[in-house]
Amino acid sequence: MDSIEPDDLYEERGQVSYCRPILQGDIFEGVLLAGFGDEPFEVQIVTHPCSMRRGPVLNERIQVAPITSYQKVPDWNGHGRVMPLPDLHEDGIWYATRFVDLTAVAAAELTIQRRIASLSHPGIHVLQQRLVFHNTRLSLPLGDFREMSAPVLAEAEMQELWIEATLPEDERTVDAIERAGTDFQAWLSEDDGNRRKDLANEANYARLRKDARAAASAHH
Amino acid sequence: MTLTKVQASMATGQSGSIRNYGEVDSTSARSISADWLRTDVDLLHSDMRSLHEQTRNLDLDDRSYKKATALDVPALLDELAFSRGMGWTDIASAAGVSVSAVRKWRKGGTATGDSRERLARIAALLDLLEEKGVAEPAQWMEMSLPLPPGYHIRPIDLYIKGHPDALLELVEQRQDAEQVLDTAMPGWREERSDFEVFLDVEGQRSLRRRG
Repeated sequence: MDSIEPDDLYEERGQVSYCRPILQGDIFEGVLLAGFGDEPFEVQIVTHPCSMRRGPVLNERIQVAPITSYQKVPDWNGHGRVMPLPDLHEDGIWYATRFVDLTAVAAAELTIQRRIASLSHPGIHVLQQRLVFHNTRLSLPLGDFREMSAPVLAEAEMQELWIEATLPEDERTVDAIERAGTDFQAWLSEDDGNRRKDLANEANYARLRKDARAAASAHH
Repeated sequence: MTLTKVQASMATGQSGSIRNYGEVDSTSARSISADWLRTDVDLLHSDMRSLHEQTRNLDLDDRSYKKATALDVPALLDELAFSRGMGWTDIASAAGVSVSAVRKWRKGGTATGDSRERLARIAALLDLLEEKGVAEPAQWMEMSLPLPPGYHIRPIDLYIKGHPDALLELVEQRQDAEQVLDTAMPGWREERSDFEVFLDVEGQRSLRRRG
């Protein structure tokens, strides 16, 4: 299995842009886990992005796994029960997501205010690779995960572009961001759903990104 | 060398690299002459290709310098992401930096001169590809190259591995995808995946073992 450097693993640490849709690999603080005591946990979303939403709406419950401090592991092989999170808090300490304690929480617990880190696309592919290995002992190349996840990650990226283009920074409240996200999803479904169908092929992404940006500017 | 000179050279045994066969018939002499001429052409072809690669690189250097001079990092990111339609992950990989670094630049963080030059180089290459007839260069960079089943390599992957020349060879149709990869990424045939991505009945991409 592959390892990845912190700068390549995380897209943002500390504060994550509110414009970014909640996605697999996102890390939240202050989340209570049923059956894990009264102390809040840091958790990481492990649900595949395809399974997190029905349309634009998050499922009622989202699969997460708790994060605890962890030893430094130069070789990530042999640690198949966890997703290593090196330097999560930019203090040199390693953490890890414990797959063996996987559970689910109400989506309402996973607010954008509680989000403290997000993964890059390559980071999400590494997480997917490790999840599959943990659950099945099957190790697949990262390129396969990249290809499999491409449509949903491209869609999330376009939604973020849309929100950034339609909402000035001082207007990015939770409600406004949710409305802008819904507007984007509506735009994607227009044109008899052809834009959504176009997400099936990477060759369409550059055009879709440009179209989304133009439509967002017009919308704004 | 003319045929007359070849014949003269053969007859007198002047060349140290050719055995003296004595008197040669005209067919044999012509064959030797053709052999030498072909060698000359092969050498010329190799020299020409090398010269073409050098001039292409100089052209790309020049365009990159002009881009880097005219545009700062926010403007370059704007051009790549919004005018061209490249994804952030590919922009980061092509510039040789992390996605988190690009995210910081988007928020107004400072970038090194090297980073600015690398962003400018991608932008310049897209311009060049467009001039060479690629209608949507950023789109083309994300297309899967026409390869046998099990290989998923995109032009942007070649660029990320440091082979802009290979992209130009492709768009100029001087070599096909496999020939280009054989030169640029000699180990690419060992990277075949035994799994394939398919659309399941719910319309989602899924993985299964290749049949």
